[in-house]
Amino acid sequence: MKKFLSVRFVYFGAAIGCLASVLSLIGLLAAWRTKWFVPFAIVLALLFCALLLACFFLWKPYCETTRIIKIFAASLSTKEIDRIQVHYNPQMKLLGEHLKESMKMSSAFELSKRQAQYQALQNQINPHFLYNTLESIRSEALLAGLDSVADMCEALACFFRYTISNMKDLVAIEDEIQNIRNYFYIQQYRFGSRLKLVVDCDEEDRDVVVKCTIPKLTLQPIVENAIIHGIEQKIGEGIVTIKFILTETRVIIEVMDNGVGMDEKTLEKINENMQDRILNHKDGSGIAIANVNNRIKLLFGEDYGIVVYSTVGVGTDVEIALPRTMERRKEFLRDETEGAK
Amino acid sequence: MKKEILRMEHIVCSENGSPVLNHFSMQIFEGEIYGLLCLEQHGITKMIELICRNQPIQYGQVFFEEKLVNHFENNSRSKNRVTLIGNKSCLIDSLSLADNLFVIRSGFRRHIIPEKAIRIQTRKLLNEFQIRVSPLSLAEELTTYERLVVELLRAMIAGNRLIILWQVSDLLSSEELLRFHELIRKLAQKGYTFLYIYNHHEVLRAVCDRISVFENGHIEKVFFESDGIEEKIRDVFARYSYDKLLQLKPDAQKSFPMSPVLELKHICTENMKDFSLSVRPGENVLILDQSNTILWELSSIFSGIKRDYAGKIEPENLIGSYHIAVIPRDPTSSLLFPDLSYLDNLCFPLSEKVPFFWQKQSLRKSILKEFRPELGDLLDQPQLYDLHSRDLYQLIYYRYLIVKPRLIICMQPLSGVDMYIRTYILEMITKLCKEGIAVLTLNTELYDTLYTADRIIQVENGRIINEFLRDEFEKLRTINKGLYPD
Repeated sequence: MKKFLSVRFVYFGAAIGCLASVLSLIGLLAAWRTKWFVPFAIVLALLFCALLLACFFLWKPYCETTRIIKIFAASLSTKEIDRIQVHYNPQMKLLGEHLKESMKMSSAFELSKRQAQYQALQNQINPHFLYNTLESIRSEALLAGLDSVADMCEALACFFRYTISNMKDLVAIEDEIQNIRNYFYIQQYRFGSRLKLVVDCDEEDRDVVVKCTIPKLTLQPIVENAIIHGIEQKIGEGIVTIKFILTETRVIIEVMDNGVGMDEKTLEKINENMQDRILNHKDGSGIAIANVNNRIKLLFGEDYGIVVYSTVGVGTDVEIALPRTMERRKEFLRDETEGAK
Repeated sequence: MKKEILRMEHIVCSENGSPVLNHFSMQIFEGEIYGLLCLEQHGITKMIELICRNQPIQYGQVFFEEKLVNHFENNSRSKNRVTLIGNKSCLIDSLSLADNLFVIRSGFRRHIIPEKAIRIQTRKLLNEFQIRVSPLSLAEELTTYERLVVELLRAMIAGNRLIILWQVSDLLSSEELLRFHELIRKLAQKGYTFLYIYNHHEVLRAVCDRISVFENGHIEKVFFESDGIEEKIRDVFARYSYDKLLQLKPDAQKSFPMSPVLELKHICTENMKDFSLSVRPGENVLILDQSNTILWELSSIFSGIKRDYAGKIEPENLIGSYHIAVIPRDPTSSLLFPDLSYLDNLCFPLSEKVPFFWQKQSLRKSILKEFRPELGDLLDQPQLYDLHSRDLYQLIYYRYLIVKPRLIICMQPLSGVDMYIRTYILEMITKLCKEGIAVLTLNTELYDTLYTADRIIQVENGRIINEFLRDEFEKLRTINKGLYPD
């Protein structure tokens, strides 16, 4: 059977078949009771068989493909696109494959979103109990004159409220920074004054940058990595610098640490992991970075993502490229919905 | 708010089956001077090609002026608006400057050339950038500095937003380099963007806003000017060369035989003025020509090419003989024969010293036996094509270890080589000195050559202005801070 089904070929074949059948029928009637009757009858029978075969192998798949396309175009079902067996031409096959790929991406996004929602719901089972307990500890600490414990409880409660109760996909950079400050405040109890956070941004861009939106918990896993894998193993002062750079279309966030850095092999593994869209890292290296990278790519597309630079003994830089504003995100979603329709 | 001029993300690229770029990522903003410090040269050529033209890549994507121009699934092979300025001139030598600037450029579609207008414009531009040359003078008449500036002007006229400067510092003297840096700083303020590729941090840190370290086909770390580049880069270098360089430092109290290998007495030429110099066996003398006026003349005198000079050289019969070897700049491309075997290349200078050397198989066998422990399997290489640059430099310096000339002239020995090879070359020079061979290094910059020198002779406009012994090197720091490495 033909791999591709040309529309013109189907119509032309059908027309030729019908014309040949009519001519054979006329010939058969004209040859009644003559010696040409039997040959004409055989030709007619063969033509009939050919028409039947053509109907089965060409017309039916053509009608099926047309039907699926009509359903897909009417946005009644997108799953049907998988059932196309025969394509009109190679270009249509390519189009089908691209559609399947993008549907897989969006279903992966939906799945991860559902998983995240499930996780959030599960975590929300009793968050108020957690917050109230932390508040109780805080008041007890204040009564006992332990201000530092009270402050730590407050920071922890704020951190949990942001990570557990905030259900937004996208948050303002200022909220994310505040969360990082809380996280740092808690970590500073462990590391003392040797841990420092520097947030840097061009003064003229600061007002715009803080209002830009980024996926929730983009920075926290990376900062956590910087502290645990970079600074914890280092002797001396550890500085995590978060630098924001604003361009016409992007927000670039650099998370830099002066920790121990990583060797060539680990960096290569992290880069390879970032190429995979499905997180399945048995060795556990760079899961947080790959996860954030995947979320960015799923939300904003392949033009955005993460780049990692690192040198042993000098430190690690994680560069996150994101689209500039929340409005862009809305446009992106609207385009996608219109495309699906 | 910044404007992104170039963004390369996770570029993976191979050449002849071997990877050259491995998840290479880089971003450059408008008006920035971005320094790329190459610890290794491998992959740099491919990276430059990819910036200039959107060639096929295995993975990754390239954005130019915030637009996707190259993707691993789809590439247009189109050109980007980039100018590459390197050691090869892009000007047409036989044409005038005015023609090179305004006529030979894409987008020039006129059938009648308005010569007068072009000449006036060229003169205006040249005056603005303080180049005292007539617009009608030919491109071949320009000095290297002038050529580089004219190429910069050409890039500006063509409207190219990104200018790649590749190893240009090797071509300029210290003074010219300072002027050139000032110029690119001015242009950066006007919105032009520079990618400055060089193999030594001392040059880059003087002018760049950011410096990234390139090794193993990707950028390892990016340093911002505000973060204190100097200190951090030294941390990177600590593991590569700094410690090794310090180990190479010769003893300040080291004594040399009194009788010199060679003595130049009051040499006067077009550019050299009353130039006197003596070099003793095992001594490493660095001639620092800040204005880049005498290096080529001096090297041609030592090679025996230039004989029209006033003054005296003692002993005169040494000039042009195998007792004086001249290692030119980039010797791997001019001194070696890649089609010959490693051993043949190694023995090549020896054939001058030993008559009928190529008939004496036993001599070659004894060389093989003697150098096998140090050079290993390299001695069996039938050709030089597949050898690493380090092996080629090793071959060059071992040639002279075998011949043992009395004096070796090294013309800018560290020019165009990466950090690893730099240290290796300095090690080899130290080794030559230990064998009792005098080494005269001719250079326009101090940088790493300082670590191995026993004496520095500072030359300006063809005249010796200062001479420093090992324990006086610190004085150089006070005389010219810009010259002195930390």
